[in-house]
Amino acid sequence: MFSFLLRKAGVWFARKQQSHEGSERVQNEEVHIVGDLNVVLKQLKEEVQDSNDIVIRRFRLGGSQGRECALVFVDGLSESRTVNEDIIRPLMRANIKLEEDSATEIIARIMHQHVYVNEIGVLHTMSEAFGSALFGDAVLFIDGVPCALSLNARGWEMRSVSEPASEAVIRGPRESFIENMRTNTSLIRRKIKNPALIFESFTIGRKTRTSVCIAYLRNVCKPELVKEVKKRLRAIDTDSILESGYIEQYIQDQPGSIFATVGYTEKPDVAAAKILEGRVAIIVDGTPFVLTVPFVFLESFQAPEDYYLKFYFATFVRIIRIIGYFITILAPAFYVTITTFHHELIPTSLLIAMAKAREGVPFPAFVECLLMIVVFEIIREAGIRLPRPVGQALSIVGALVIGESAVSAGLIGAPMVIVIAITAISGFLVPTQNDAAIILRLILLLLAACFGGFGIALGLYAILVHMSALESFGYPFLSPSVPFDLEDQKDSVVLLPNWMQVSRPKGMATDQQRKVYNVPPVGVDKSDDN
Amino acid sequence: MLSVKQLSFASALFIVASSLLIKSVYMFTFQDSWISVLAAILVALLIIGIYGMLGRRHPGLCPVNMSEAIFGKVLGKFIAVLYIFFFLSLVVLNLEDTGSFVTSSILPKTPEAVVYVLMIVVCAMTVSKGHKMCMYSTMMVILVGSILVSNMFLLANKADFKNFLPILVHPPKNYALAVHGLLMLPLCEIFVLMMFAPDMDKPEAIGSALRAGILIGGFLLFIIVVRDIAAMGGYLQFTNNPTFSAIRLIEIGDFLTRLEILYASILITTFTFKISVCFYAAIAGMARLLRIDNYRIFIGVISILIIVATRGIFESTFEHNEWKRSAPAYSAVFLILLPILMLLVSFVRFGKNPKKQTASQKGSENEENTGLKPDMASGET
Amino acid sequence: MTIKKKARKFIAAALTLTILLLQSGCFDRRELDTIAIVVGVGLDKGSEDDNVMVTLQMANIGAAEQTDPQSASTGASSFINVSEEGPAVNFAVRTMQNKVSRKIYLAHNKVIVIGEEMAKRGVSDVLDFFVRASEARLIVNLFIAEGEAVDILGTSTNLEQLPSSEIQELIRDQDITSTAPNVTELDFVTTMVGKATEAFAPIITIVEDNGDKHLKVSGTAVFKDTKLTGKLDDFETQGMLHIQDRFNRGVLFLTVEDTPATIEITDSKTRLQPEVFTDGTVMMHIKLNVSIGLGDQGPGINLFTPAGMEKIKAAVSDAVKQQIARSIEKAKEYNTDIFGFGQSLSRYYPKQWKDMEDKWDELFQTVQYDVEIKVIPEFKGRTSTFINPK
Repeated sequence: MFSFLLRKAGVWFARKQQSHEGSERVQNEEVHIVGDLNVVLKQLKEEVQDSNDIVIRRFRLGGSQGRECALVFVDGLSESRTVNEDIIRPLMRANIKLEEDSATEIIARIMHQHVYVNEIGVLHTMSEAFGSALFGDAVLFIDGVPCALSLNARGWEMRSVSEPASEAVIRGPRESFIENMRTNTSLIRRKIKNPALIFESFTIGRKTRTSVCIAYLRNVCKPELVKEVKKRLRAIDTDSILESGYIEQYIQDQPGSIFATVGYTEKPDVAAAKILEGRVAIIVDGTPFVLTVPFVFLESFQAPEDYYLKFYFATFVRIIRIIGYFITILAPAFYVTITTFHHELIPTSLLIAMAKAREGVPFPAFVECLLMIVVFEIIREAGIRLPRPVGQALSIVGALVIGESAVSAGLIGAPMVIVIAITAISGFLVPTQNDAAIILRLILLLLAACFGGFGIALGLYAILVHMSALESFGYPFLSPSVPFDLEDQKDSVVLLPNWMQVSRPKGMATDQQRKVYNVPPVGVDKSDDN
Repeated sequence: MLSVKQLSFASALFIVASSLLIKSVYMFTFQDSWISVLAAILVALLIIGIYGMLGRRHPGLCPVNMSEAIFGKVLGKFIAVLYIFFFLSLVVLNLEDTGSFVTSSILPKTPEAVVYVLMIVVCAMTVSKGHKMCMYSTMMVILVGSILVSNMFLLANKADFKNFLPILVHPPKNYALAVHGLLMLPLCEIFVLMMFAPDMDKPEAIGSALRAGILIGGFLLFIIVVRDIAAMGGYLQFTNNPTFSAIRLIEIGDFLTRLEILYASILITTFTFKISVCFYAAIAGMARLLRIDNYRIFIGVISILIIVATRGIFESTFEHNEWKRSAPAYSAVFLILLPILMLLVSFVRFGKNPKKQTASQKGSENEENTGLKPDMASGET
Repeated sequence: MTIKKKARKFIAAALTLTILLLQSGCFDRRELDTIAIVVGVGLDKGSEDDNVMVTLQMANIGAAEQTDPQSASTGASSFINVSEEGPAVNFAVRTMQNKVSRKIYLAHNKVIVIGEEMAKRGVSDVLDFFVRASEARLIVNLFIAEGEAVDILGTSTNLEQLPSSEIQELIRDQDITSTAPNVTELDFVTTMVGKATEAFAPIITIVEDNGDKHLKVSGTAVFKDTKLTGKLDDFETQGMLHIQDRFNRGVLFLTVEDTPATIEITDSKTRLQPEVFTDGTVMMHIKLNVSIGLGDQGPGINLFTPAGMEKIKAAVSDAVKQQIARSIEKAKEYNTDIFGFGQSLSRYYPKQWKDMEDKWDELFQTVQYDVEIKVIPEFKGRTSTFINPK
C-alpha cells in the first residue's frame, strides 16, 4: 500500500511539473544544419554563450584557398594530440577544391582520405552536433555542406583502474570499475570473450545526457528480461542521472520497499559472474558502481571470494553472514525482550549479573537501547564523512568515551553496550542490506518493547510476508528459499563446489541451463600415459 | 500461479498451525493418542479423496463458485454464503484461540483486543499479497519441522518410551471421538485451501496437493504427539495444554530452559498464516460471489468486523470450552456433509463429465483444460 | 478517490497504529531492576493449623551492588529471606508483596523445601500453586526438610553465594553417591497424582561440624497419597533407587574375606518385569545389571585377581539384594508403593490391573519379588595390587 502511494505520488508530482519544462529539447531537435557556416556558428554561439571550454577552431580545407570550415570540440574531453595531428593537420593539407566538389563528395573524400580517426559519423541536426561534441567528439562543420562530421577524438582525464574501495578481497582480482563507461565495458569484455556478450547503449537525462549501457549474454539471458530492462530504462524521464543510484530508484519493482532489489558491484569479476548467470548489468557513465538485475536477497550474502575459496569454508562464512544479519536486526530487540518480558529465558546467574548492571540505570531498557543505537549511528556517520585520519580518531574516541564513561557514570548498563557493539559489528558483514537492517532493527525494537516475544514473532512474520511478495524484475526476491527449490540450494546458504553448480538458477536463464560440463578427475588418470 | 508443491506445503503448515488445539485427543486417548493421529490421517485421506474428486470434476473452481455451479443460482448462492460465513467463523475462532494462548502464556496482562488488532493488521497485510502467501510455506514447514526435530532431541533426556504402555486400552468410543476431533480441527480444515483453486497452475491436481499436505502435516502432528507422550507421561493427565507444556520440560544444563517463548513465537507465526488463509478464503469468496475482481476492497471492513466479532464471541474461557465440545459437529457440516452433497448433486446433474456445463463459469480457460485431458474428452463420446 | 485523500487515510492509519502500539503495549513490561528474583521457596506449617508459612529467598541485587565485588562474594548479604503466613500459598505470596518493594518473580525459583510438619499435614494444597502458575518452573528440585524449611533456607554457606544454589548443587552431586533421589516438583506431583504410584522426595538436614553449619542431602521421605509417612535411610534409599532404575553411581563398603574394600558402582540398569499368576498374586522380577569398579582396598587378599573379582561380584550382589529387600520391607511397612510396581502392572497387565486398582493398598503388601543381579566388573584403577609392604 505504501509503495503504491509512493508511486502514485510520484506520478502526481511529475504531472504537476510537466507544464513548466520539457520544451527546449524539442527546439533543438528541429534545427537542421544549414550550408552556411556563419549561420551555423551563430547558432552555436547563441547556445553556448561564452562557455570557455568549447573551442571553435576555424580554418580552411587544403590551405588558404580551400573551403572554410570549423572544428568544434570541448577542451578537456577531446584529446589535443588527436585533434591536432589526425584531424586538423591532414585536413589543412588536403587537396579539396572549392568549386568542383559537391557536398556529398567532400564528405566522402574527407571520410575516406583525410582524417585519421577510427569513428566518423554524419550529423544532420544541431542537437546531434551538440551531443556529439559534448561526448568528446570533434565536430567538423564545412561551409556549403548542410551536415556535420563527428570525429572521434575522445580522450579525457580519468582515474586509472585501481583496487575497489567498497568490496575488498583477499583472494581474487583487484581491479575495480572506474567512472568511465567505456573502460568498464572493456573490463567486462576482457572477462567474457564471447561475441554473445552484448552491450546496448542509452542516453538518459534531459540535462545530463548520461550514457547508460546494458550488458547481457545473448542466448543465456532471457529476452523478456532484456526487454523489461530496456522498457524501464526508456521510461526514465528526468533531468539528471549522476550515479547508478538514480537509475536504481527508477527501475525498482517496488520503490516503497526498504530492501534493495537492484544489486550493485564495483568489481568486474562479480559483474561478469552475474552476467554469466543470465542477469543484466547496467553500466552508468560517471560511476564505478554497476547495477545488476534481477537481484535476490541471497546475493547480499555472497562475496566474490566464496567462489574462489574451498566450498566448505565458503559455506561456513555464508552461514556466519546470515547469522550476523539476524544478529544485527534482532539483537537489540531480543535483548530488550528478555530483559523486560521474558526473564525466565536467561540463566539465573546471568540474570543476577545483568540485574546488578542495570541497578541504578535511569532509563527503561528500550530507551537505553534506542539511545545507544542513535549514538552509534551518529558516530558511524561522522566517521564516514570526515577525512579518514580524523574519522578513525573520532570513532575510537566516540566509542571509548561514550561507551566507557556512560557505563561508569551509570547512564547505561554494560550489557547494553556489548549488545549494541555486537549489533553494529554484525551489520558490517552484509553491507548491501545494511540500510534495510537499520530500519528493521528499529521496527523490531519498537515491537519488542511493546509486546516482547509476541511482537518480535509477528514483526519477523510480517517481514517474511513482505519479502516473499517482493520481486526483482519478475524474479522472486527470496529465491531460492521462497518459493523453495531444492536444486537451487546449491548456491544459497550452502555453497557447493563450482563443478557441482551444474545449472544456472531456475527461471533466470533461457535454454542454456547447463554451465559445467565435466567434473574434476579424481586422482591421476593413467589412461593418457600409454 | 501456485504450484502443486506450494499448495501442499501450505496445507501442511495449515495443519501444523493447529497443533496447539489438539488437546481433546489427549483427553480421550491419553497415551494412545498417536494411534488416533495415525487413524485420523487415514480417514482424512479418504475425505480428501472427495475434495480431490470435486476438484477434478470442476477444475479451477473454488468451493464458492462450485456450489453455485452445482446447486444452481438460488440454493448455490445460499450455500456459498454459508461457506463464506464458515470461513469467517474460522478466522474469528482461530483469532480467539490465538488471543487466549498469547494472553495466557506470554503476555498475561495485555488485553486480548490488542493482540487481535496486531494479528489482524499482519493478516490483512498477508491477505493483500493474495495467493503469494502460500509461497513461503515450504520454508516455514522446513523451519517448523526442524524445530520440532530439535525439540525431540532436547527432550530426549525426559523421554520414556514406557509412557506409551499400555496400548489400546480405552473404549472404542474414545478413539472415535479423538479421530473425529482431529479430522475436524486440523486435518480436514485444509478444505479452506480449496479457495486457492483458481490460482493454481494445475487446478485438477488440487486433490493430490491436499493429499500430500495431509501426509506432511500429519507426519509433523504425529511427531508432536509422540514427543508429548514420551516426554510427559503422567503429566498429560492434568496439564491443560500438553503441546506447550512439553516445551517447558526442556532443561539442558542451566541455560537451555524455558524455551516456551521461542516455541510460542513459532506457533504464533503459523497461527497467523492459518488465520490469513481463512481470511483470504472469506473475502476472496465474497469477491467471487459478487463478481468483483479486486477482493482487496473488503480487507479493511472485514478486519474491523472480525475484531468486533472476536471481542464478543465468548464471554469466558468456560464458554469457549463449551464451544470446543460442539465445534467438531459444526465443522463437520461444512467439511464433510456439504462436500459429499456437492459431489452427489454434481453426479446427478452433470453425469460423468461436468466440464461442459460449467464452462460458462470458467470461460475460455476451460477449453484448454479439456484439451489437456484427452481421457476426459473421450469419456464424453 | 484522490491521491491526497488516500495519503491522508494512510497517514491516519499509521498514526493510529503507532499510538495504539505505544499506548497499549508495555502491559507486561517489567524492568530488571523492578523484580525480586526468587531463587528458593520454603513451605512450613503456620502457627495455626491450616495456615502455611511461605519463605521466599530472593537474590539481594541492590546490596551486592553497593559492596565491592570482593566482599560480595563472601555471601553475607547476597540474599534475603522473607516469610509470610497465610491460609494458602498464593495468598501468602501476594500478601508478601506488601513487605517486598520489588515485584516477586518466581520464574527463577530452583528449589522448593517443605518442612517436615507441613509434609505430614499433606502437600497437595501447597504445591498446587506452583504447578498452576504459568510463571513458575516445573523442573524445580523438591526437598523435605528435617525440621523447618525456613532454617534450611537461612543456612548460609561458603561455597555458593545463595543457599538455594547450594541445595541445588547438593542434589546434583547425588549422581555420585545415590543416597537420595533427585526429585523435581513435576516428578513429585505426577507420582502423587498417579493412582499406581506414590510420591517420595529427598531429605535435607542441617548438620554441624567444626562449628560450621552445613546442609546435607541424604535419605528419602516417603509419602502415602499426599502425606509424609516415613523415611528411608541411605542404605534403603539405594535399594529404592536400584528398583526404580534411578541409581546412577554410588559406593559400597564391603568386607570380602576379611579384606575391607570400597566398591564403586559406576552404573546400574534395572528392568522391572511384573508377572500376575492365575491366582492373582503378583510377582515382580527385578533384573539388574550393575557395573562396578574397585575404589580402594585394605590389607588382606589381593582382590584384583580373577578369583578376587568373583568374590567381589558375589559380595556386591548380596549387598544390593539386601538393600532391595530392606527398601521393599520398609515400603511395605509404610504401605506405600514408591517403586511404581502398580504402574508397571498397569502397563503390562492393563486388564488385570483394572480389578486390582481399587484394592492395590492391600495387594501391595502381598507382592512377591525376585532379584536377579548381573555384576559387570570394570576395574579401571592404576594399581593392580594392594600397596602392601612385603
